[in-house]
Amino acid sequence: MPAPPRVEGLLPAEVLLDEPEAGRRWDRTLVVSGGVLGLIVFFCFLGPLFLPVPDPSAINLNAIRAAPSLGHLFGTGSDGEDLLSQILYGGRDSLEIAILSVMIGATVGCLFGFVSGIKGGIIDTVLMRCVDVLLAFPALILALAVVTYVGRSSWDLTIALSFFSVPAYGRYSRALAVGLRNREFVVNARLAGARSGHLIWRHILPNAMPTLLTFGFLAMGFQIVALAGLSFLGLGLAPPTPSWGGMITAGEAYLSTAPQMVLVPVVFLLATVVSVNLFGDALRQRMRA
Amino acid sequence: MGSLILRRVGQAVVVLLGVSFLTFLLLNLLPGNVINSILGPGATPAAVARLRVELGLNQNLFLRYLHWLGSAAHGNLGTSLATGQSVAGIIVQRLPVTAEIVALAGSIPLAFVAARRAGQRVDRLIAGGSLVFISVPAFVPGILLILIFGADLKVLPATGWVNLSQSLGGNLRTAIMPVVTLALGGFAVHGRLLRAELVAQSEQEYATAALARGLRWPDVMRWHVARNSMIPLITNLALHFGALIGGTVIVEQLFGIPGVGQLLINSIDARDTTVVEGIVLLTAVAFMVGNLLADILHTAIDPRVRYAGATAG
Repeated sequence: MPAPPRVEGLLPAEVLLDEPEAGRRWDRTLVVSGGVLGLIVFFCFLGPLFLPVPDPSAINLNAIRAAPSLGHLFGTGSDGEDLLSQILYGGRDSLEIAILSVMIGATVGCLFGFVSGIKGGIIDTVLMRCVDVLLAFPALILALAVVTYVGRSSWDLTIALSFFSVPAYGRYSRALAVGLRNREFVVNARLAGARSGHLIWRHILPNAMPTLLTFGFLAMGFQIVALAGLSFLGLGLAPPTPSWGGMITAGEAYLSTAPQMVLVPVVFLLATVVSVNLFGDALRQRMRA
Repeated sequence: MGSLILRRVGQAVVVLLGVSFLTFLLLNLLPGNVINSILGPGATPAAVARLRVELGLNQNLFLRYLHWLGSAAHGNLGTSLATGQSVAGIIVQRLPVTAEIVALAGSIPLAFVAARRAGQRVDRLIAGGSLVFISVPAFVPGILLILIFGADLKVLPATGWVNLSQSLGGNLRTAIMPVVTLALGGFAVHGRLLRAELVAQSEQEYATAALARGLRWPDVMRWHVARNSMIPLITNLALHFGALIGGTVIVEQLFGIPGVGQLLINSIDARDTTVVEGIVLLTAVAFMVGNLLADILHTAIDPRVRYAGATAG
């Protein structure tokens, strides 16, 4: 299995705790990070259904920047909005956008990469130059342009962020396809007259899928960070829709008087991204073992 | 090796053409244009038409691209549509480069320490710290730095920027926090990458063989292992540049620095296509040159590298 490509913004595979010999430890990491991730996903998507949280943008002038209490578990923001509720709804949007944008980026990237890897020759060259163009193009500028000109709905942001993962997946899936191209079962299928589309769909994709999925976790971690960055620049989801990045920005000015406004979203952001990264990495290590 | 480099340069040129055309297309096809942002919503149709001709926006899109490309090839990136300033003049930026140097200066020694004690507590501590820095957006450590050094200890100015031409000391004082903030991400990535490679390389047979020949371990590290471990780092440096530009935009916003990032956001907002195009092109050039240098260094360091299509793509 080739190592993931080194692409702007995405973690090089070797960055995390690289200890292939310590198999058991990776199992533990897998369980712990997977558990944290599962909890976050569960509460963000299903929490608002059974937890007694108010509307995330509900204004409550009696409790402005209140410290955490029983009524407001994480305290409140500048308009008295409940931070727990904002975390849950903001987290749901962040995760949704990150997952969707990775899926879109992966689909487009793999289309480039698989066709390139299977066909080879001039098609390979042309497609890979296209991927190179995307790679050399500063993805943040593309995202900024899309968000500025098209809009800031969660769908616009998903599209804007998906550009980040296209070149990464393009490179990676091509490497995977090239690695599989001359394996016996692929050669046999080709000799039996299978077309390229059939080869990709029935032979390359199923074999590359686990690796691509694993890579998706690392890509997702990056998307969440990028989304928070866009929010910080004022180009994330338009207010009053809550977002983790937007919450941090809003709380920045009150860091000394109401630290929970920054600390709570930072902790959640960090916990999510760290566990996504560790989960992806542990999965990769396990598959390699 | 000469023909290999030539081929790489050729590829780079093709990619740059693609990048510039993509940018041009993107900026001109998306809704909104510079005329509205210059004249405002209440402009008369006559004034709009006059400005269109003045800025050359009435010409065919493709002709305009060729025209722009022609002057760009001569080093002239045009003038800002909104302000009339020369684009090449406004895009002078040292922040990302400085940050990269700081990141390297910090990460290399740390990587050696971590590799030497691989698997031990120091290594795991550094790994944990790196993971945290990789997993937060650049503005989070930035905010903490401002809070600690700017607001609490008051040893550094919290925000603002003093130009180098005004005062060296002032420039350094305003530059420390932004540079450190920007360097943290690269610091973590480079450090972990180098550490992993150092560990992998020091387990190779040639390292054992060198030891067996009677070389001392520090010398083996320095002359054999370190040299071979630099290759992934070099490749990654080139790739990291794009991410660094993104980080610069955020860090400048946070510290109130009037730099290329602010310029970019404002220009995108004002539909100032020539400025955006110039920034994209320079970023892409820097990226391609970095990759090219990485390739050349790679061939220079590693005699096994015989490209011949093996790693094409």
